[in-house]
Amino acid sequence: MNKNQTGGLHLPPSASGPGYSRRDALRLGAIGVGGLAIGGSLLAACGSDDSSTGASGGAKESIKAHWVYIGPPDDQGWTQRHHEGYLAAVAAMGDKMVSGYTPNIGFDAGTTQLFQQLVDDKNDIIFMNTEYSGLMSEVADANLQVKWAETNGHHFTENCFGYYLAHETTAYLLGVAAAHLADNGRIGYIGAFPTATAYNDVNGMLLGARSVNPEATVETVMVSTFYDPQAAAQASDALLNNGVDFLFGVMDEPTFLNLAEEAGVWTGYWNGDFPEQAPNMYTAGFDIGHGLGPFYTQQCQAVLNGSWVAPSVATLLDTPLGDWGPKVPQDVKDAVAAADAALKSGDLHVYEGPLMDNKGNQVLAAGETIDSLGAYEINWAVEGVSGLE
Amino acid sequence: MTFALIENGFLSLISSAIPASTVVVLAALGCLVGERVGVLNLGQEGLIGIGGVYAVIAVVTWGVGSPWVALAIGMAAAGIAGLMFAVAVVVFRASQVLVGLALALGGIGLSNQLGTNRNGVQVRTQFSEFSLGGSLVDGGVREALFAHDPMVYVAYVLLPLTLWFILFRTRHGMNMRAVGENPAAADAVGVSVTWSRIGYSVLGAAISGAGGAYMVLSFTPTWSPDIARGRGWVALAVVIFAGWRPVRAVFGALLYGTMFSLGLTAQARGWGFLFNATDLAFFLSMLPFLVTLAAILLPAGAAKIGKRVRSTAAPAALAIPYSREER
Repeated sequence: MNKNQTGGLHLPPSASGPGYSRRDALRLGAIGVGGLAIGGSLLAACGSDDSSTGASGGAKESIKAHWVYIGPPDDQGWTQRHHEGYLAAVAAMGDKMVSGYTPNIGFDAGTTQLFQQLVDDKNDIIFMNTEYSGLMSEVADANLQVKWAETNGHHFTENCFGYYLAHETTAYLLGVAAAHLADNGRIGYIGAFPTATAYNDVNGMLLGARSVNPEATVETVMVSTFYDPQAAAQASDALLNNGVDFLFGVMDEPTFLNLAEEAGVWTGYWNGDFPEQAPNMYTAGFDIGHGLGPFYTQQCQAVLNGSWVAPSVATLLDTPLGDWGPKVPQDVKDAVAAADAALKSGDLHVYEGPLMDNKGNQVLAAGETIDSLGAYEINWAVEGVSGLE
Repeated sequence: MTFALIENGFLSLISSAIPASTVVVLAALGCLVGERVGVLNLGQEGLIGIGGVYAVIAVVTWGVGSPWVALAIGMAAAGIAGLMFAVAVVVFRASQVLVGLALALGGIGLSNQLGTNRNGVQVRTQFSEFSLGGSLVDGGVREALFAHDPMVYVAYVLLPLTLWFILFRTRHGMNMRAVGENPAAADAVGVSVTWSRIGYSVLGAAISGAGGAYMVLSFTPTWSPDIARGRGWVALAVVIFAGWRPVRAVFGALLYGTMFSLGLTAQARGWGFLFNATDLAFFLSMLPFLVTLAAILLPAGAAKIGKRVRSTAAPAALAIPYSREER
């Protein structure tokens, strides 16, 4: 990820504004609560008609695609990375695609209405940059003519699948760096919800750190939100006051980087490269935007060609470690490079037995390993992680 | 906000709760100033947003390098919103509840709109720590109580004591309270009800706006949409809980911040009994309101069974428009 991409939003004419505002969606949906139920069943009927032509359909002249975002496209984090991927796909598809995006879509009944509106608006494919799960799946199941691609999704049907930024190895590498930099081996982690993403963050970091310092620990605070700078600040406060020597977070905004810098504690970021937010203490971030542009483009192209088929398992996108911050010592970079080479060669595995979880159960027997697809289903934290079970 | 290693968990909690509560303290005091002269401003959420976003604009767009100037700009913007509110409810005698709700919702929308393209941008002009106490107290206590930025001392000590003194120890304060309790009587002795109400509505709004400015100039150095996130409503509850007394309002607000910080500190410290405090996040955010309900109901309930409890009644003319012709 180079920083030029984050410098500002350059929207092509087709993306000069969101296709829908949330208010439009609510207004359109406000025909009545009953209307939703009736509309839903009618559309279900339509959906079954369309499905007779096959889920993928034939080649098209042009397609219509829409992106639904959990946050604002300029959040300096998660949604901005996805939005850059969107812009790449828009540029690559040119006049073969009509596109739009809807920011700031949370988890409530209005979200389902939005998906229904996007279906009614004859979108061919809809991308979501978070797991809307049941808020989306009913609409998806009733509208087989529309393709659905959901970040971190677990709904796999003929027209819907999930994609995932595989990152347990990236977390491992950052853990190696953290253990070199944190004098006391205590790593702080600010998370949102106990999902596979969070487990792979803390497990990867702990296992990477323990490869350097067997006493290393990861202390976790979950704040039940990805976007609340005040909550993130308080979580940082709680962890830093408690004495952690490295601070990592999965927040969609970089506040905790500023606070780590202020406290003189090394830090790293989930959502791309932001060394300017912590000029002296920044190590590296996860380059989550790395595979998004090509992935979105490839999906849209497949819909255009008529060759689109829903994968039956999660699509894993590569998420490498981003550029190093200016003050990271060379020996740390070398140690991480060596670990990276060992992981890539297959000599080293992030999850390799014997491995205990932090409740005292053995989760892997000696010699057993878990690959990235298996890691996507993980719901336990390894021994040495506190604050997350 | 500043950090230092604090061994003692309770002191860590307090050191986290104090900055977290500052915005609620300021909004509650701003709210209280208006309510004492009989003007109920439900628009605290909006005022916090407006104060915050203008402080961000001052620093990020206008290049203001002094946090005090940015604070003044945020307060002035909220004060202008307060003036519009005051004109509507005092001069035109519109419903304070309806105009207040409009200010709350409109202020959130306005601040989010103005904040577009400034999401996540770092606000580089910040208040810096102003340490009191020097070597008089040991590390943890000093970090928890005396190592904050100047706004914290203003909000927790200077402002409430000043308000208490003016309200309860000066003739001017007695006039203010008279306007809130019995505007007709105040009017009869020559106190201008209209100008008191407009003036203190504007001042109160500016103080609430200072809460928003504090959030971006000290608490978190960044703008985010819906910045108040319910703190304005908590402030309204705190004023009732405090029985319209400034010093009590400070403690009420601190209780809120402590509850908010408790969940996070408990996780970081591994306090077993609160280990899954995130599960309680919504319950904890409800606590200030539950406590407020109890504070309102208990005196009433005690009166029913013949016990007398010190009155915490609202100013008698709260939210009632005053018309000289109708007295």
